[in-house]
Amino acid sequence: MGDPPGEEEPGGGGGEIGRVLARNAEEVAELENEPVIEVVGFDWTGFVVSFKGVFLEGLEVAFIVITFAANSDASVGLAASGAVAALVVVAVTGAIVHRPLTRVPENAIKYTVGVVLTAFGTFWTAEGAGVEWQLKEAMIIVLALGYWGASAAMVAYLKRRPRAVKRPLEPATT
Amino acid sequence: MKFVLAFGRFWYDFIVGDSVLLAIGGLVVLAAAWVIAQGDIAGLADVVLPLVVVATLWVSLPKGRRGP
Repeated sequence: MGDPPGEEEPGGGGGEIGRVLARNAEEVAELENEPVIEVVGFDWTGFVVSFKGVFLEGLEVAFIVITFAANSDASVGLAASGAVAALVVVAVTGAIVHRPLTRVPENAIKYTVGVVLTAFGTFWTAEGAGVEWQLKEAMIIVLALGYWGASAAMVAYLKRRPRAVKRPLEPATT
Repeated sequence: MKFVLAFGRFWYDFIVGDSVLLAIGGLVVLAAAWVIAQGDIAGLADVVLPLVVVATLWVSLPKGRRGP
């Protein structure tokens, strides 16, 4: 694989990533310096944000259950039972491991979720179009491993540009 | 009219968002899957579709480096 289209040579003026990282570091520093806001009473903001996230995911699960049931010999009741079982497993697991999970780096979680969603997305997109995967559902694992390998290679490719990342930062122009 | 514009803007944001390239990549995957399904060539999807996805990611790298 050659350089991606529009990409400069390594170390040859790739300072954009350095500036992006600098802006990010500045924002993080600013946020860390802001005073902690004490929440008195019920945290409505936290509740609404959490509710929206859970509601959206729950709606997705409902659609998935109905779609699975409609496309198989199983009844909606059986598919719904599976969904309820999954809900219980996720809730119990979340209750048990929520503290250790908060220590997992956010970017690592986003990266993992991105790889898994891309694998599922590719699989179901093709299934929806009528494609028969040779490995059936096991192909999801192959896809996830392949995407993980390819994206890890791209991350490594971007990281081997020390000059671009370590170049002295330009002052903010705001 | 305002509703139609807002509706169109919603779908544009939903499908395209901040990267036309990734949206095009998604459409290419869809089109390739449909063509492969019509041709009924065993095993072709297992190779072609992941390659299209990885190629889309590769092509989008420069924009990712520049930031939003």
